[in-house]
Amino acid sequence: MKFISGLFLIAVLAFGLQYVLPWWSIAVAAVLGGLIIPQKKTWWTFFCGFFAIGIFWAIYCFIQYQSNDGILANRMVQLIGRNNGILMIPIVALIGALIGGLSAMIGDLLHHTFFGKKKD
Amino acid sequence: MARSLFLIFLLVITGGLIYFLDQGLIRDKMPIPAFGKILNPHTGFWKNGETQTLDLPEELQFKGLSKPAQVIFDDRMVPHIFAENIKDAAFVQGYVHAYHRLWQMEFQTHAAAGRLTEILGEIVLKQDQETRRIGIPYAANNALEEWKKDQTVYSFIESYSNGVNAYIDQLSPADYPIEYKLLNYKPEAWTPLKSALLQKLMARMLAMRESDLENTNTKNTLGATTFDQLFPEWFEEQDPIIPKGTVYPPSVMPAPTDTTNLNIGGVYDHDLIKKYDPHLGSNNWAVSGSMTASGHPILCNDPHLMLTAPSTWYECQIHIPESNTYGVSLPGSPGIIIGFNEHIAWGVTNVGWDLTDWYKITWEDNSRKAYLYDGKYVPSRTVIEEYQVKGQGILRDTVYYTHWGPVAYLEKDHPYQDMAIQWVGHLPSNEATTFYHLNKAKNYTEYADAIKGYATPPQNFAFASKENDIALWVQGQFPMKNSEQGRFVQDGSKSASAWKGFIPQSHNPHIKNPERGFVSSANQHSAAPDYPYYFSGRFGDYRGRILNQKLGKMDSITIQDMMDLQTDNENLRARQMLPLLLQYLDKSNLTENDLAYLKTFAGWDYRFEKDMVAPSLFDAWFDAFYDITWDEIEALDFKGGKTWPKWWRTIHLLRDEPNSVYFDVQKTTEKETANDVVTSSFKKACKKLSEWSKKENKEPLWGPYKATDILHLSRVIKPFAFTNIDVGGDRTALNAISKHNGPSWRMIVELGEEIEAYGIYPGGQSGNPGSPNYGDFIDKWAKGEYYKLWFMKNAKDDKQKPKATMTFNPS
Repeated sequence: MKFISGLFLIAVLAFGLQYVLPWWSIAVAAVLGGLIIPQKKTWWTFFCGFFAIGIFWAIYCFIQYQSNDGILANRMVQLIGRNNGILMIPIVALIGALIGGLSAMIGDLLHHTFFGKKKD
Repeated sequence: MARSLFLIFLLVITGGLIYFLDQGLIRDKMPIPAFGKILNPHTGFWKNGETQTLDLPEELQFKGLSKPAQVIFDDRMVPHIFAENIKDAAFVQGYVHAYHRLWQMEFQTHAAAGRLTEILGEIVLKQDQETRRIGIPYAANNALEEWKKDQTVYSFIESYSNGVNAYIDQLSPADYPIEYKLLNYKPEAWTPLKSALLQKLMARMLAMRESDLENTNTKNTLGATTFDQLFPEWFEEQDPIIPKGTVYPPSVMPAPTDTTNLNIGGVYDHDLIKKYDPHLGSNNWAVSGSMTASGHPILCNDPHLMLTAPSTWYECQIHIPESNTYGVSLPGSPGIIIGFNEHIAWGVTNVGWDLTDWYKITWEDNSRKAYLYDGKYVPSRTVIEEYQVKGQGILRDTVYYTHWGPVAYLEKDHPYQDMAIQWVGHLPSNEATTFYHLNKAKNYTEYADAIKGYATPPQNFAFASKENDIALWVQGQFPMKNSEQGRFVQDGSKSASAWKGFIPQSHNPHIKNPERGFVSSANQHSAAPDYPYYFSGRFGDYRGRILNQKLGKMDSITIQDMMDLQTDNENLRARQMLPLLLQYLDKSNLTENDLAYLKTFAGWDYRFEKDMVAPSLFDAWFDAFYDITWDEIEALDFKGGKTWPKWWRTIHLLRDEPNSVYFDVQKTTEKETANDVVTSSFKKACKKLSEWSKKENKEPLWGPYKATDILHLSRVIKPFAFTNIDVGGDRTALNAISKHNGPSWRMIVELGEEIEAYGIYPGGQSGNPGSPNYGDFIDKWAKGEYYKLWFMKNAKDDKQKPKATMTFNPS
């Protein structure tokens, strides 16, 4: 349950912060999320951030892919020598997920540094 | 403790990763993109994906407007601008240009300003230096100063600039065109100077083509007699734009005072700087009502430029109370460049006159502060150029200006070391005024007045009016020269090397309502040798002749006939050369494969259609024949910078001098004849085609073999290009589509009671590779089809259904 609420918190923060910060708002969202709702284990917080941002970005990319009929994604994917633009979605989501995970872990560690609680 | 260390480690890793993704890197001079900025779904490329609907609000408010204006976008995204005055129209045009083509506008003007290093770093430093040292920004600044003198026209250009900025100002990083994200920079404010830079970019491409050094090297090596035999400037079958026998006023050029040889000696044995592709060209013509089925005149134009995505042109209609004009515009410049209004139509082709001359400078000493001129040392002017190089800071470069022009290259061993460049384009001139007035001209007199002051790049302005006048002026600012002056590098220490003033504008070659019922141009010689002034340059030798032959035979012309003529693939070069080649071909020497290829010529009508093998075979054969014949030129023992005989000269060599020594291949001991060269080049061509066929696993049909490409303007972003377009045509056919160049806009206008106009260009209105309108005209263009242009009478015209309507209100 704590995992799900952490995941939602990061996703919601990321959604909101994009309007005031550049694209790396996802890192801020994940740090805050990890700080407010740390998981039992630090690496759990990593996955919490990882999936929160990964899923958020994947959906966000997919919506824009659809409304453009994939025209631009199909061109962009040729830059890495592929032809199917849908491939851009997992690639981008993975980058976001990685930043999300790492940042969430930072939040988690900050939580324990500031509030000093020992992990179970 | 361990936790703190881990935290620090994570902060460094994550921070570093984000920094790299946000800023990119420069490694080995090559910029590595900012992947985070490009890929993220908040502000990255995803935001550039457009849908079929217009991505702009229906109503906008701006300070720069005096009255409300309206833009109606039709289903091809062509804006039809309705404004109450020309300044407001320019503002709106600037806004829609920026909306569709902002990156193109800025990239081209950065290139013209020699500022690409700011975006791309050191890899383009040489290119930027060349642009600045030959004085392109210098020319643009001179033009701008001239524009400022004409307050009416300048306020029109300023208003355009304000419109561009109104669009830029409301952009957030997510809205930046995709190329900005890929190259990680942002748009800067637009200025009238940028419009001037764009004008000079076109002038450089079209009117800075010269071969002074190549000619100097070749003549000084081969000797004057051989040079004159191989490189005559005129031949009898030529069919100039202004026909032979036209009566001209006598020359006003002063008699030469110094008749000694002013050309420099020596050979400049170094690699040559990159020169622009000389294969540009264009066609235009106007036929009088006496020749058409409807009795109304028809004007046609197809300028052949390098094919790029986004396209050079942007279609647009501009309606103001005093005029209603439709045609193509240049993104970055207000008004219509090629088009028509309710009274007249006009079209342009390039004039090939040599307007660029190099002068060897004799410096007083190494400081280059003074140079020899008529026995005295006169001071040079020093200009420090600053380059902001991405990832490196500022680099400085000194350029010395003489009264001839800038001394472009100081590097030891540079072929142009210590030579000054004099270019008509450097002189102050006001081309913007021409289009300002031409757009609203109502008859021949207003057209002739509008183009009077037009200087560079000189153009053949074809004209037709509802009053059934047709005309053509070869218009530009043309220097008066002695015979052959400026064909070679001249001695810059003598005033006798100077131009002799300029040809009076009224003496420029021109023609109005000729007996033959049509006017035409296809980049051939402007006039025959009976024209009283000397000119040289680069001229087309084939399209003009075939165009006049065909037009001369036509009557009861319809719009369909004109479409067929613009897309005609008959090749005069092949018609003249193939029978000669076949005559000299020794068939006993051919393999079965060669003989099979030879059969493709049976019954061929010299048309370069996309689904034929014969054009591929002829093309390969001609090239091989040319190379083997002119091995003597190839063998001239300097690396670069030599002149090559023209195609017509090559054909005449086989026709008139089959025993010429040039057919002997220098490096063999045997004595080759024309038969040997024709036969061995045929075998070579067959081999080339067979190999191509094997590699590509298909028949060498002309379309796929020629493989026309429309490259992205950056030349390097391959996914933004359109490649291997299956089209026919050839440089020496009217449908002049080659590998990289071709008809960049085809337009046909019939000037009846109701104007009927057709047009198409190989691209789309949007410059955004993520838009469905990026290249949506290309398929139809390749098929030789046209769009009927919606020339709206007023904003309520309902002949077509608009895609979107926008209102611009003053605030």
